Amino acid sequence: MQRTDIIQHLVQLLNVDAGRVTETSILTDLVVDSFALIEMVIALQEALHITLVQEDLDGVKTVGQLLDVCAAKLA
Amino acid sequence: MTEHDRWILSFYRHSEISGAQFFARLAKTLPAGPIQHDLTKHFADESQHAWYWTKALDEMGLEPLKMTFAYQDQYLEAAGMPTNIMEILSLTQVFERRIISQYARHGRVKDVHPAIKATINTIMEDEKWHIHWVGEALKELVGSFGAERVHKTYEHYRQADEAVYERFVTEHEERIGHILDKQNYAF
Repeated sequence: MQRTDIIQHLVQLLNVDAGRVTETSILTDLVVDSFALIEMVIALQEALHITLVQEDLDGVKTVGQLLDVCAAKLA
Repeated sequence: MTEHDRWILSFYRHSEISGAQFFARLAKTLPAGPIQHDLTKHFADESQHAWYWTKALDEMGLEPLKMTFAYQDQYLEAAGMPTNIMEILSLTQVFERRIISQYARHGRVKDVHPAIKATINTIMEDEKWHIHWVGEALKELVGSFGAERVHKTYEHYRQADEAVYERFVTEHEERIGHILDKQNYAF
């Protein structure tokens, strides 16, 4: 799966304009609250058939960093 | 009845609403299965609990205060964001145990208002089921995550809960001190 495909998933899950979701976008800027971020991360795992644990997301702030983590799980 | 009663019942009500909202969103996100099934009842219960506290406030002639924070928010600050269903359920189990302990203490306070006592007794039955179903779900998730990780995760949130509760008690001692003081208990 390409990084652009994962971004497409994110756009759908977050229900935001595609232009808002770039590799440098800050994740917390894309959601209304922390619950929405949890919801997005859970839904992304369902969509990609991967499992993330809390340590995987340590230090993850941007969409690009999240993509790195997902890509590593998919590899 | 005091302003402290109004504050604590408003706090309970607000925390139940926050729990219901979170679990409702999660129930929409998760695939069909036993966890989605029980989580759906769980969020329905939390909504009911918010209504019970609203009704109790009514019966006491009080209006709910607008609260700016929920107890659950502080867990995220102290323990970080849960990222999978096992972490969410571990956090939920810790939180439910804290809620049961808090409600049990409140129910023991001498001369507690009958509306508070009745509400706690009703809610406690649901809370026992919450502990049960989440515990069973966590046992099932051992198969996917391993016993060590599930145990470690629960312990991580339990320790965060100790810190959050200690801070909560310190910050709001004036409002909840009478609930924590065993000398005020009827039994």
